[in-house]
Amino acid sequence: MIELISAQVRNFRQLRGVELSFARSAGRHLTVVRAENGTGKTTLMTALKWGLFGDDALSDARRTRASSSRSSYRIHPLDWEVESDRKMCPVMVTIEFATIDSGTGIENAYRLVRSTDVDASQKSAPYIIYSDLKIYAKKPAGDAPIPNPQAFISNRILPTSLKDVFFTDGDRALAFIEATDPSDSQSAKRERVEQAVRQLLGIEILEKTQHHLTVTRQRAVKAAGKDAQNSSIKDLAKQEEKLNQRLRKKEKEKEKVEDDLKATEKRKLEAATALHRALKAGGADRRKLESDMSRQEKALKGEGERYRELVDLQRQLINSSNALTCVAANRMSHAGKLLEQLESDGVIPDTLPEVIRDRLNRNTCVCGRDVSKGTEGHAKLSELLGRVKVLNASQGVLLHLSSTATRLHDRHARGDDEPDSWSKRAEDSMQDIVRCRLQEKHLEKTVKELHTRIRDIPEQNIKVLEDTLTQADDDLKKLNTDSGKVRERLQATRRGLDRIKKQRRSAQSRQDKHRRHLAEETAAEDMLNTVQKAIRGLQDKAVEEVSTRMSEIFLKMIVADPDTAKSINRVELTRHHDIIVSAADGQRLDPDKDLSGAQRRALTLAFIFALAQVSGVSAPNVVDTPLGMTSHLLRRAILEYAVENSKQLVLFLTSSEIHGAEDILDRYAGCTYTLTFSDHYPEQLVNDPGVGRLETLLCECGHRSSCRLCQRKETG
Amino acid sequence: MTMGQQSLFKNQAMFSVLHKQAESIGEHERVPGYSDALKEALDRIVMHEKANLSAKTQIQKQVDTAVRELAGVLLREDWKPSQ
Repeated sequence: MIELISAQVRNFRQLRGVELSFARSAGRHLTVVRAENGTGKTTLMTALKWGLFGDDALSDARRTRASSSRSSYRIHPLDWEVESDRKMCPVMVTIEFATIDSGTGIENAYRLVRSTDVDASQKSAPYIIYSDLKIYAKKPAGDAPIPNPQAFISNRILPTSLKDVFFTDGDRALAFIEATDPSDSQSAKRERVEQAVRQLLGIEILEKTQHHLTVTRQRAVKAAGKDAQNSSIKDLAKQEEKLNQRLRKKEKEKEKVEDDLKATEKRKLEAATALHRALKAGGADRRKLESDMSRQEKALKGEGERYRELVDLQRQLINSSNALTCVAANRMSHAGKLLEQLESDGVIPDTLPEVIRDRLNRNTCVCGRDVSKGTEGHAKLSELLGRVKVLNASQGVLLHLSSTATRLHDRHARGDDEPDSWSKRAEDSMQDIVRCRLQEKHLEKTVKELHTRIRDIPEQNIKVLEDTLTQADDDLKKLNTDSGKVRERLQATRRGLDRIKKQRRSAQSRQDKHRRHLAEETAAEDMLNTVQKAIRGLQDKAVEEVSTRMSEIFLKMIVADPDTAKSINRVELTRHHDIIVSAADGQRLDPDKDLSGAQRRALTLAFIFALAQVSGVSAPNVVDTPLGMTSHLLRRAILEYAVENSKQLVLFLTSSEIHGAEDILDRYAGCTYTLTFSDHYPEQLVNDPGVGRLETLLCECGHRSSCRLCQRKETG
Repeated sequence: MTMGQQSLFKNQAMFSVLHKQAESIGEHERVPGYSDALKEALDRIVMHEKANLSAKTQIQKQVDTAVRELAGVLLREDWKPSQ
């Protein structure tokens, strides 16, 4: 809650310099400012409102529509003389107030200063007013300025919209109940009541909240709708799982290939090492010896073949005709001669066989004997032919020899043959054969020796090792190829997996976004529903509560007035913000016409107090002329009720309002003041205030006392 | 305005009704602690709205933020959006 501590007013109309403190003590929280009509009560309240709420507080009805800085309300003193005073009139209201935390009871004090310099040369409305507001937090170390002071007042102290509820101008407050001028319609009154109810119950704030939440919700709905067209994360997750499985498989394949590669490399290394060791352990010599032996064996085989060729050659040489000529030339010559002799003797060639065959064919012997088949002659001749055939073969040889001998003899005789050439060749052939044979023997010996040497060297399986090495090399090549393929497939799978993961992450992100938007939509909807229900609740239940409370307060106030109590049964605030008064007979009364001024004032106060109570807003009630036109009993009832139901109450009262209620004021008033207007001398004032200008002056006289300044003349 | 600078002008009736309505949103429908978070979020928005009355602020952004923060309470828990 807030409490007013003190106020200073300078040059605010006729309030040239007024200072007052406000009662704050528990049980004595009433401040009474006594003042007769036309003294400056309303001006003082306007000054307080201007101080707190600024230029808007200079009564809406009196402000021009042209600009908020222009006002028909003259703020500076009416008799301010530009010539003698100044052109610019400094107007200032200082209010000290305290905020008290209802929970902790901690109190913070502030000093508010609103000021303006008004151009006093302005003789008529509209008056241009630009006020400046400063608020300082009162601290032991010194005052600290509050930033954005107007917002501080509106947000933390009291909203401007409630200025007419807590700073109640008795006459203006009646606007809630009655038409303030002939043009005021029912709807205008309803609007004022509704405005007060909405402000005090916070419905207006909630409606603004509702609007902003609706915008937020619409955005969330739109955003969530946009995200809804997502590709299925489930599908992508399945694809990812498949690719993961494939990846694991490929990795196993890769591992296997790599294991095989390692094993093969190891095998190759082992084979190479073994081969190296084997070669180092004599394998190299053995291989050389084996190579030598192979060469020697080949040479030996060649020598064997050459030997056979040389033997054949020699055989041909021996078989040649020249050999006979060279070896037995004389014998051949002699044989030739003998054969020539035989031919010449007709021994050769023999013609008998031809004769016998002819006779046999003719079946008649030369002797005429029958030699046909089966005859003895035939048998004898056949036998003879057989014998002749044998002889004839020998004869053939002889003839051949004869012919050959003749030919050789002739050639020899001619000197065609060269016996030395054949001999030479025969000798060379023999020598070749001998050399060949020797070479062959040599080679056989060499081979035998090599064989022996090889046999003596320990056997190493060089070939196997070499084969192993070669196989390992082949295997490595194949495995490297396989490994490359597997790696390639693995990379492809990884790329695919990365792509799917990216897609899934993106989809997940979209889904998260969608979920977030759905959450925002839900949150906005919940808030919106809550606010809407709260608005309905406030409109229905709280208004009903205000209605009930207002009726209670009003009836309590008027109970003191038997006439009024008898005529009015209850008052009601409808959901449509009409204030209805029902008569005892159930008849509906028109407050404007059927209620007295005092009743309307009581009803207004009842409405304000009920609204303040139901809304839970705790602020000072500053009421100007609350008891005007009220009867003695009603006045007391209103006063007592107002004091008992306020945390801090400031009442601006006329003497007639005070009359008959002094005891109540005695009981509750913590501070009392009296305002005196200099212009009331000499008509109303006993003494001249002596200020020589229009000025309202303040003294601390209470409702039971008066001083030289405030002493008034007795009226009829 | 921070929560530590709450208005001394308290619309107690309004907050009372607002909180009562917030509590009526059953937590079984949302997540544990949601009602309190909803109340806090609404309080915050109302404060911003009040501040916006006297000096124009970026009220829509402030409301958006409050909604996002309340949504964050849902997202922190195992909240399942209704289909």
